[in-house]
Amino acid sequence: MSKKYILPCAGFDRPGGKVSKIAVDIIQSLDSSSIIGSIGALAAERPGEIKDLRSSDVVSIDGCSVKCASKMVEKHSAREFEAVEVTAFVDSTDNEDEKARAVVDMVQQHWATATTAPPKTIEPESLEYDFLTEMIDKFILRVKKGLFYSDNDFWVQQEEDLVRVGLTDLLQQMISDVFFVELTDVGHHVEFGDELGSFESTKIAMEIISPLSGTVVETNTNLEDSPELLNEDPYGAGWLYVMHPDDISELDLLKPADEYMTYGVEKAKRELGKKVSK
Amino acid sequence: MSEGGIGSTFMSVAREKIPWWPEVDNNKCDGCAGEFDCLKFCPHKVYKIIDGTLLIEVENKYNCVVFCRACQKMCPKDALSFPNKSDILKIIKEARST
Repeated sequence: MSKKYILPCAGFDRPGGKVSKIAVDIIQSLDSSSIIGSIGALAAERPGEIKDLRSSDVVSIDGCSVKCASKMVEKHSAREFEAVEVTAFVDSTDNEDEKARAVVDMVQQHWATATTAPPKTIEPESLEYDFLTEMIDKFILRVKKGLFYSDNDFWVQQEEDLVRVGLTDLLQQMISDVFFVELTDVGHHVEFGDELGSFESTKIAMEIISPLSGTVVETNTNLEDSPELLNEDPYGAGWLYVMHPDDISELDLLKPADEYMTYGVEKAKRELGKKVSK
Repeated sequence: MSEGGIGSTFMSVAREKIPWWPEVDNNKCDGCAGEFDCLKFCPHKVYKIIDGTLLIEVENKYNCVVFCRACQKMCPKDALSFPNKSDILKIIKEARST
């Protein structure tokens, strides 16, 4: 992670607002490749800004104890970052330029020692696959153990403080071949049950219905070119989103694998029965 | 593509206890001049044509997939509306706790 992103306080009336501004001006004059972030652009969830934030080594500079800059970084990125609070220097000097230089020193010191920590999310390949399976007519229904399932047929996998979301084997079998996927942007926030993009198959166009409330932190962009991954590997390479959940206790509203299997078998049988009766 | 209907459950709550289905504003609906996009689109047989008219009504409200609003996007006249999702979630949570 070589890019450097610095998010200064945006309130120039704040005790450390002006110092933040001076500090970032100095940082950019020393290293023109560093990105000066915008709290406004993050608040507006501008995709380019969120992409810069998420792909950089981030330092936030807070101009007062409200810590808007740090809060904004926390909201839009799941990675570790360095927070510098200008007001921590209040006692050491009254001179704003001196304070700014102290801030710059801290930021530079951080960047000099920062390690290239990998993102917290776990690649699907590294996860142990373990499935419940049931034979329904000539179909094999697979439900992955250890995940949580919504009645709209999406799964949620806990990955430390994040979750990965995808559609179930049952759903991909019911809708048939997916040929188009439209994913929502990183930074998008949804409530439980809200729409999270959509997809089209040879049978149906449907919404992705979010199985929990949270903010999208990563999308599976491979699906844009290879929507067939949803059918081929719905619990693995066909994942949809990594999200930062608002409230992890919402998982209680979902079904564990065994309950979802019972539910899925019933649903699949009804679906088959309907076809036979037609 | 949940298969709902009377007798089914959603999030362990009887479907009949969850008031989620579309409302058709017949002041806006013109039956798509006989094309009836929502009727053709919805695979769950939620809609039917009001006999002898170019208007649509909800026939099987419990067939409607809870939280699905896909038909709303198909409607060229913006004549379909759904309940507030958080209200419905509240109802579901309350029903689960009793």
